[in-house]
Amino acid sequence: MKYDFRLLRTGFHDAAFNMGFDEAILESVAAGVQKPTLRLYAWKPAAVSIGFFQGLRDEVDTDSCAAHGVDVVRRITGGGAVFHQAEITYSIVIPETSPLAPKSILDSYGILCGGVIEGLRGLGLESSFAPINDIVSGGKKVSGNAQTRKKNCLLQHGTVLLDVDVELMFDLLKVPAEKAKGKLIQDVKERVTGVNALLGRTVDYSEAEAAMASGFSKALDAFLTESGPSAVELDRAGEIARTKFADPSWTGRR
Amino acid sequence: MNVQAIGKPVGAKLIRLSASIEKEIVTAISIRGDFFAIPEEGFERVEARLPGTELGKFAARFDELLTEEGVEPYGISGAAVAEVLDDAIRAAVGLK
Repeated sequence: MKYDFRLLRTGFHDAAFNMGFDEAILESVAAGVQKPTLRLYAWKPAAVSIGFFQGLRDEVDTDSCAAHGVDVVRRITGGGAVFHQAEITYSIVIPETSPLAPKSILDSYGILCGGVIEGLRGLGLESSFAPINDIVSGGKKVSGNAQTRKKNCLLQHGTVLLDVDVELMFDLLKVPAEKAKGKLIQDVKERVTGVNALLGRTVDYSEAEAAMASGFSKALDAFLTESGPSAVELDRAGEIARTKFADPSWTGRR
Repeated sequence: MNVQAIGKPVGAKLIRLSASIEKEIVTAISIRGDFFAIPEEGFERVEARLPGTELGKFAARFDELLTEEGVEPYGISGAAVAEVLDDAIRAAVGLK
């Protein structure tokens, strides 16, 4: 294996903490305190994350989210709104000096999405990269990914959908006025799917977690050393969650 | 005149736009959507520098500012934003 990585399996957390955790890892890798890191995680409660440039009120029915007990968070990465429910999420942080983080954003998406593609292969699914930031299987989107560059590091996070509840998703997200909700739900059902539907069986979180760890290791030629986050990272994750991602002025900044 | 529009020009992601226009000059603008622009803070500086831009020079000025701020855009461009802005104005004056 060519590249040394730290593997964090951090399980289920709320939305603000999850986003704070990714940023805390970015800080520690940027400071040279930690190795490049692959983190695997999930969301509890379920959450809607919106892209950095999206308007909260454009995209999210916040009353419906509150009624369903669904968190809402703004990411530091661009891209679209995502309903995080039955899925596995990954984040990967690499110094920009790494060959795995070429200057071309598109090229780096291609390299890092290879980890998801290989992970899906381990579950028995063939899939392919659909630039700029999606992965499709059987002609349908099964993974969305988003990347940013900060502090001389690349951070990419993404989801692998296990199941998709499109009806609930469109209770939580705003539907453009010109589109009929029923038609939109049908369109999305035709374009987006989950691993379970594709495989015809249920993949639980732990199986997906193992497959993704193995997939990233293989695709990136990475030796993964599993550990826990440092105490400093946990403290910073909590602090960033409180002061940024749980702050309504951040969530509603657009 | 205040205008707003949603568009997905060819080659672009979804772009939502609210703007104020006075005498063919953009006096305020908010650009939202599911595009990417890295660094994100650089894009916000671009957005903040757009007021004062003539409508006819908007696309070129947007691209120029992206370059000046060192922003790498994906799913958004001066031409794409100008197209949505044009749609917004046409809708506001009843041409669409």
